[in-house]
Amino acid sequence: MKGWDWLATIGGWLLALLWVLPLAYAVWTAFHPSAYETHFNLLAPLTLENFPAAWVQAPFARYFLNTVVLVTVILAVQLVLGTFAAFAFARLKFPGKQVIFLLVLLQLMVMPDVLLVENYQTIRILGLVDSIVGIGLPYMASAFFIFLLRQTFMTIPTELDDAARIEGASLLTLIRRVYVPLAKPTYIAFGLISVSAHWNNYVWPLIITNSVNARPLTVGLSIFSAIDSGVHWSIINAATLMTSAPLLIGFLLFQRQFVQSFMRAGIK
Amino acid sequence: MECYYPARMNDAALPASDTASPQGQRPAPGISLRGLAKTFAAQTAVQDVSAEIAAGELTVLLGPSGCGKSTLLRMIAGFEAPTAGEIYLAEAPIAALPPSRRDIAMVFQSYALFPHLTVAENITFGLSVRRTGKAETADRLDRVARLMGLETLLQRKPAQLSGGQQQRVALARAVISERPVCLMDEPLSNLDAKLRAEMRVEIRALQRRLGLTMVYVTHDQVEAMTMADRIVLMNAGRVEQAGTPEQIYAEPATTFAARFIGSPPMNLVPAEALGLPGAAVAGLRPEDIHIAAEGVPARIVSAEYLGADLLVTLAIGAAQVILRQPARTGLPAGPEVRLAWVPDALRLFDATTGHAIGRSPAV
Repeated sequence: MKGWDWLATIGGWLLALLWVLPLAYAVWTAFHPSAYETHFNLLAPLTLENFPAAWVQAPFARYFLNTVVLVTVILAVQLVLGTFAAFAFARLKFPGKQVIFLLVLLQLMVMPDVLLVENYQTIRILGLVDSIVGIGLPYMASAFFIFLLRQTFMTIPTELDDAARIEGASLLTLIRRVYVPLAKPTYIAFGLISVSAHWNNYVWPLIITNSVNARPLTVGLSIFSAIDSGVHWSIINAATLMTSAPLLIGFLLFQRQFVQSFMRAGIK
Repeated sequence: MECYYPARMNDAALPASDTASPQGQRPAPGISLRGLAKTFAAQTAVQDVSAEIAAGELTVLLGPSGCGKSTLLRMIAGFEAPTAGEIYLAEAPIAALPPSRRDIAMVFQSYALFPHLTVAENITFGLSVRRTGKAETADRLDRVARLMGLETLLQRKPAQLSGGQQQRVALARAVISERPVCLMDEPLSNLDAKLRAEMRVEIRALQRRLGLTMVYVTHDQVEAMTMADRIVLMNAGRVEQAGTPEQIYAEPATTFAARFIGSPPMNLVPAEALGLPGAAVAGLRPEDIHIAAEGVPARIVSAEYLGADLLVTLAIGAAQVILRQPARTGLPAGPEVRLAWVPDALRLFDATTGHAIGRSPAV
């Protein structure tokens, strides 16, 4: 068994190396003059000039703003809708509850990419093509979040409901002051998943946007790196680092809290 | 915490009228249950229950698990709607009101403390939901915390408290509402035996001191006997007998009541085993039987030594009885003895219905 352990360790390192290689290459080129793009030399001079160069060549400020607004709006609506839906499924009695919950779960089994065309038609009918709301709308009712939060809500003892109700708490007060605070780890865990998923989402925003006004970072970046072949790798990679930096830094800083939240929310 | 008990015990020792409701505004109303029934999809939990819960008294709903006592309490609280019947609070029907408008406080079996709130926030939760002013909230919190001995614990979370302390926070939350009626659902079942005995005394003292009308659910007959002004004994969704602990102990209305109250319970044997005529069931409390020179022949099966008392199990033919006698009296040498009993203590029950014979059911 000892020999196998050794092999597994080697394999693990190899995979890690493979995984980090593109990032390492991006960092290497971003901090060196373009002359060193394919010419690896440890003594190559370092430079920060690629970043301002990338920043002025495309409207990255606008892309950043679009992405931040997009991610915030999606998360906010997801949390509000999810909270009410999860509470209803966990605690309220209403006709058709089982069937409706099954329909929600059904959404979990459909790959979002299958719906690209259908979603585009819907958004076009609504007149929301090329808008931030248009990008976010298909994601605003998250079946995953509703399911996750319902499971958390169902672990809260109903005696707490009774105790709050006899004191005169309305349903809204009950949700706001008892259920939401007790499900905090679930909210944090899902918030992370949602933010990272929509910060990185590419295909759908690419299809539904056609102007700088709505384009998020991912789409902006791909257009920036494709429009003319004259763009240098060092500048493209500087832009890539720039756009993924906020997420990367955030995750590194709060790694521990994130993992704890995931453990408590039961996502592994 | 122990140091708080003597002080509160002294308070409790004062006549109730002197200290009744220091909160002072409203006299506690009585509750009247008339023909209450509750049917769930599959079974009937409560059927045709009528009972009077007197103002300012501690009434215990007693019965084995599944007898409907908790359902009854939840109907009084308003968490379950009765299938039939009406509940009157001081002559006003309340069965249609939501829980919050019934002027009733409740302490739950699991205490139902909010884990994310501090003790102070837990106690004042209701006040803040009802938008009571800051100054008044602080004032009432201060008073209740002192009453319950929780002054030093106000900033803790429930998870940092012992079972007894959590229980006291749950009580404080009920007391601070200043509602004159308090419902308790098996509040001591999660405590160890010693703490349970202490809290029993404490809850009783609090109820007397505040002049609360209290409805207390338990399956523990010792709790019921020691705390209750009146006991409503329930079985299979019906009221088996209602009365003071003394009445129910001395005059059980049915064989169920005879078996449920008392430890060990009343001996129930066929009347002919005791040499009595008829087909009735005879009931005798263990302390009312004694070994005598003359009487019914019996054989000693075993003896259980309890310190002060000795519980002797005897066989009379096929029937067995338990006798309680002072331990220092000792036992005769041989296993063959004769039994006699206090004639007044003998109770007779109908062999088929189980109802007491020859006495009106004490209610």
